[in-house]
Amino acid sequence: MATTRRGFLVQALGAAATLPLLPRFAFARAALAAARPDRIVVLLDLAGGNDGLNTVVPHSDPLYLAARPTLRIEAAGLLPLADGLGLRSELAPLHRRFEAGELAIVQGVGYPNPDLSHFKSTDIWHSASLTPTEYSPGWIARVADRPEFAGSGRLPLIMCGGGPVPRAIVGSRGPAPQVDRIDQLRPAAGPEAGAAARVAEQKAIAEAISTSGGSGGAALAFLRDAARATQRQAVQIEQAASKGRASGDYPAAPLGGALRLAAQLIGGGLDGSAYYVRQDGYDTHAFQRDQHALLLRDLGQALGAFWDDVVAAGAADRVVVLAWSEFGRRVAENGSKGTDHGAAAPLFVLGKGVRGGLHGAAPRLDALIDKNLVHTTDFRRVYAALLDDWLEVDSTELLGERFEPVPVIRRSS
Amino acid sequence: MNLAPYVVGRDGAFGPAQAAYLLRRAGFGATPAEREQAVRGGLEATVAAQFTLDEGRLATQFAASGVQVAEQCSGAEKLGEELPPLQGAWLGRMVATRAPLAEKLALFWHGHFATSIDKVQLGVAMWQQYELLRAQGGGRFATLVDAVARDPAMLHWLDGNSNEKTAPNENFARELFELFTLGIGHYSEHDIREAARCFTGWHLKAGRYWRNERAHDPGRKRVLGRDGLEDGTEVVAVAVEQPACASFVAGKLLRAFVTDSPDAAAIEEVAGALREEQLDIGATLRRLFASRLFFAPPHRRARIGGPVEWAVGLLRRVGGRAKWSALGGALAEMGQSLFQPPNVKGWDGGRAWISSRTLLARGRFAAEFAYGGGFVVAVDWERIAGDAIAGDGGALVATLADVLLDGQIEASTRARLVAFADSADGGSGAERAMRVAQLLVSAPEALLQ
Repeated sequence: MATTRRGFLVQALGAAATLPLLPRFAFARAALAAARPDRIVVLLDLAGGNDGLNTVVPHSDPLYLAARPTLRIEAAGLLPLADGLGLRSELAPLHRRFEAGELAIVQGVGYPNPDLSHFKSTDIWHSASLTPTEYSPGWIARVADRPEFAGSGRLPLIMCGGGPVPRAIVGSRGPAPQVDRIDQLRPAAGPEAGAAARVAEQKAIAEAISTSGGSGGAALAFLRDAARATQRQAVQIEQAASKGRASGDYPAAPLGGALRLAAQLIGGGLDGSAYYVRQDGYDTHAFQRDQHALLLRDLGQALGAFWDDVVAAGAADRVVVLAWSEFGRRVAENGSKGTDHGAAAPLFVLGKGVRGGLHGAAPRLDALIDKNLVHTTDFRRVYAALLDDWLEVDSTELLGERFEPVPVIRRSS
Repeated sequence: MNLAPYVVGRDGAFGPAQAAYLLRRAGFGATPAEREQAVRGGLEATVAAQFTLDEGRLATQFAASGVQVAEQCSGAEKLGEELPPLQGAWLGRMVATRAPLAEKLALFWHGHFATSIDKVQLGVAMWQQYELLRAQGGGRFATLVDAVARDPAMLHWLDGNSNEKTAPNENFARELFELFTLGIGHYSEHDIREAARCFTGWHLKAGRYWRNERAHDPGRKRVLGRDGLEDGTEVVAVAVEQPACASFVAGKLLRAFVTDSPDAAAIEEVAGALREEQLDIGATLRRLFASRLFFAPPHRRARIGGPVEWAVGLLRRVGGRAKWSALGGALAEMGQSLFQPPNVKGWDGGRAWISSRTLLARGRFAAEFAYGGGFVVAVDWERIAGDAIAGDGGALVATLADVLLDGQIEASTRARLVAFADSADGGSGAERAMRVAQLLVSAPEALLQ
């Protein structure tokens, strides 16, 4: 076996002396045993394609002003982030966290050869694969499937709010639990007489069907597992909800209810490592101005209230929120006073453990490809930060490739 | 030849099990009497009967309910007030109809051209779109797509109404290719931009489609390799002629009518039939429902039924009635809010129907269905169970499983239910039948359609 120069050095100097030569992932590997299932990631999916340029606004760039004759946001209406860059005033609660050093804004996030389909791009973000298949498990579900996270009756993933359960939280065990109203968690019994016996029978029936003998095959096995898991999870969720409190001022929109529930469950000690919440409506192809402002107002208010509740519950140093969208929107507005699908956009990471401020380079408006912004930071570098530096699991193994983490997490010593 | 016919005798029987399966897939399931009639009539006649649109005496009633929906929607003062009457009118029709396939096709196309009242905000337009999907859902696909492209609700939903030549709006053009005709990978971003130009000026005037010449780009465009296109109607024609279109539609038909996970060979067989039939949906389904592929045993229980077909099927089997608009709300909790799909891709179906939230909601419906008293009018279980009402547990479970689930329950479930029915917990008389019905309907296998 040929001895490389580096190999020779390792042998000559002894292992201790070589540590500084080792790439950083060696430390991540070493930290594996210390994975942090006590820590929580809240995934906030801004579904439909949020207009990044009108969220984190380059208000002084003449190319921005020219591209947005009716939709541009003037500097006067923005909260300052840096020279020439402002945050929408609807996001004031987030701006306060930015000033406190608890909000990271990663600029120009995307991936190579952007796909402008909502569904394909959503699948790419959720699976962390550029070539997702129908069966690719979500990136966070791959974490949750690990024994440190899925062990002994934990609920590693949970979706708060209605609507379809996304790929991000569908793993090898089927979909994660979903709850949008605590009062709907008890199995239906019907009239009181004999109710307990019927609930017990439902449980027994779900358990009695054998996986092998069933004529329904894989579909029936899936349904049986789902029925059993639902019964078990509902009890755990209800218990946590009874212990937790959420008293913040949430907006009436569905996002408000979903984040209130997440705060209540986190406060109640539900040992989930990831919560998934979705805000729909960002697909603003026409008459965008008012609709987008309303969405951002709900987002700011809901996230502000959520964070207050998390702080009040004493959980602030255990929670990080990631808010992203499947793509940004076209630089130039269309003739409908809206914007079509685009590419790179900023995303938000919020938490006490977050290294606040602006990260990554702003995408250039003078170097578009196909009329779209070109990303400056691969989204998987943000996932790598959450994996390596927050949940302390090996991102290379989980993402299948090495991505240098964006330094959005303050690394624990 | 694609879709080889199922020859009774050579390929298998056409007995109660096959008839029940056909009537579940082509409709919402059948009563034992309807099943027997199908067996007596034979496969060919039963398939043919699915394609009638004749509602008989119900036609007048349905026409009146359409008018009433329009009035209720026009009279609504707040957003959200239009949804319950819309959902209620359609659900009531699905349960009462004598032409279930027409409603099932409308439901299928509603999920395909998924349009939501949340953005359209006009109940009347949503109802008109439903009537269009019902009337043309079994016809030529090209005709259907062209009609949907001009449909007022669609023109609101994907912003055609504001598509201007100065800076075209890509929303409809993209989804036309990605979700309505071809599927991802069979068109380019350039095709979308050029197609969007073709649809400029497709606006609404007094609530109806018109081509606004001032907003329309009259230039020549190149779309999907074809030069010289001018108008959106030519884009539709070119899109449906692409070989990918038949395969795309075939996959969706198979998921809706046969199996949650069709294999490539099955998709190509149905795509071949679609091409032979010039994308005539009804003609293709006629062949599909009488094919060996359709009756292949693994397909028999290979679909997880969506909430609407599941609940409508149960009510039809017992001649049930409900406060229909409240049923619409219960179905929303189960994950299928009619006229309000989650996004333009519609409901993913299959395993995506199932989450802890939607399973608990199905359980609540099972209880309401069995006991009534809320939004479901109490079912006359003594009539449904007949002599079995006073029989032993085995007889009662067999009868109810036959009526509600075509007898398709696992042996282990049957054994538990029989023991329960024979125990003190089971109660007696109609009460016992209700309890068994609830447990039957909330068993995991009851969701297999």
